[in-house]
Amino acid sequence: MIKVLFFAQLREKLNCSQLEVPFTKSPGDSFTVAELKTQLTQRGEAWQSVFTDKQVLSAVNQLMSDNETTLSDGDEVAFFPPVTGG
Amino acid sequence: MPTSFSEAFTNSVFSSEEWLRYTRHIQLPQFGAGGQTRLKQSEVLVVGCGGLGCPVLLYLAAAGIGRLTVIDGDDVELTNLQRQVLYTERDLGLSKASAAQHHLSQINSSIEIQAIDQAFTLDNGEALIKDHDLVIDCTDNFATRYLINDLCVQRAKPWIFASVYQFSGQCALFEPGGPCFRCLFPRMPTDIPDCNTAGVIGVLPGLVGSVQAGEAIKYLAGLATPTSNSLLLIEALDLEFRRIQLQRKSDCVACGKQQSFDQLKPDYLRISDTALSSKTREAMLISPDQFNRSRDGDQHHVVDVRSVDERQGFHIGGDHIALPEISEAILHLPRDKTIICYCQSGLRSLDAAQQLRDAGFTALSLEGGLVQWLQHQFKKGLQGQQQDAL
Repeated sequence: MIKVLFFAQLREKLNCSQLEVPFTKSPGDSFTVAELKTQLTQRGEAWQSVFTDKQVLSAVNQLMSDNETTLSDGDEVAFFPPVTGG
Repeated sequence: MPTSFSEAFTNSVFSSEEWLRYTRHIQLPQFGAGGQTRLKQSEVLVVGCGGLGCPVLLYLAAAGIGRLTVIDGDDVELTNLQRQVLYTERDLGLSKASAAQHHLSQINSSIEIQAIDQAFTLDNGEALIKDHDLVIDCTDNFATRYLINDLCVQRAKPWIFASVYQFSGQCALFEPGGPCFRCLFPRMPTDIPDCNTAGVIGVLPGLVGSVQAGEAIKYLAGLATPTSNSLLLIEALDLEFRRIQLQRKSDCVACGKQQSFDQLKPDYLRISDTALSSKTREAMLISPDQFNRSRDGDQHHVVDVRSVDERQGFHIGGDHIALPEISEAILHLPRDKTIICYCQSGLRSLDAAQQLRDAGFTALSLEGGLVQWLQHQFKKGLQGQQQDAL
């Protein structure tokens, strides 16, 4: 399983603060943040708009990551947007 | 020969009053007299004194930072008082930085506090950052944050970023040599709502600003700071915290090998875009003053496009059609009149006016919404009272 967390506006947009997705990987293949995003976009229109937005950042196991970062079973992936008010 | 009391005082770092005032810090084993001395010798620049700046300044002044400089070009407004706890009703209309200085000097008269009633810009920023040990970002926009970042990278100064939105906050301490703000956000984000358009729960900047002040005090006193090179994500609604470790980007335009400060300048001039071009938008706006005059005749039809709760909470008349229902209500609106839409801050009404225009109506949107209209009315009321007094 991969634990996926959402922060700030994403919680409101997706109406979800966290979920778990099955770790799907064929032997020899890698499962990346980009592939996780693609999988999440299939959940609906709001998900599509959030995960095609290049401004949304990600961290794997509390370390900044990018689309190419590979995931392992049991990882925690956090998605968060820039926040600007003060 | 034994030293007299008065001689002992003149040889000390602290006055007797200061020594007593900071007792609770000095008694902390991790802090001690050494930590308090470092605070007294520190010079801190606070950029912005709004929601975040108020708690930051309150705690830094109380903690005994030797020299505080606060810079902000805005005035105190009624909508600020819901969260900007440094100000009182008597400060309305005054410059924020000066009003802050006035209150802070009453909290701690033994520290030096300077107020600059200007916006932080490329022109004044460099000299200010050079002149301080630590910069605290309490601004509300990314352009200023990029400017603070780039100047701090150039001058090898540490700075603490924080921001808030509705129920969420972020905070990070950027140290020289570590990852910078542009390593985290390489491109200027666009279309990100700020507090003026999206709202913020009043206590949130208090929570996030206190984290920021705590990190500043610990950093200056020489204690560990978990936000160093890390981004703290704060969720006030679920009371959840996550700390993300940042990574330096070798291709970063500010701190990487290819740094080119001059190329970054356009970022500071950019303002947030909305879906509509500014020209189209301007043609659709009606100012509070024009709005008041329009209500004298019968050429206009006013529509409040806010939610039912907002309508019941307060309104200034007209029809009520919530934005999501506007397309269905089109049949019932008079085609021979100009439709004037209003909402809380002027965004939803703009959307409504655009929809009505697309359906062939002449439609306008009240500029700045009810908030700006109310401020206009209060200002008029104040001027009226002043004229009556003369």
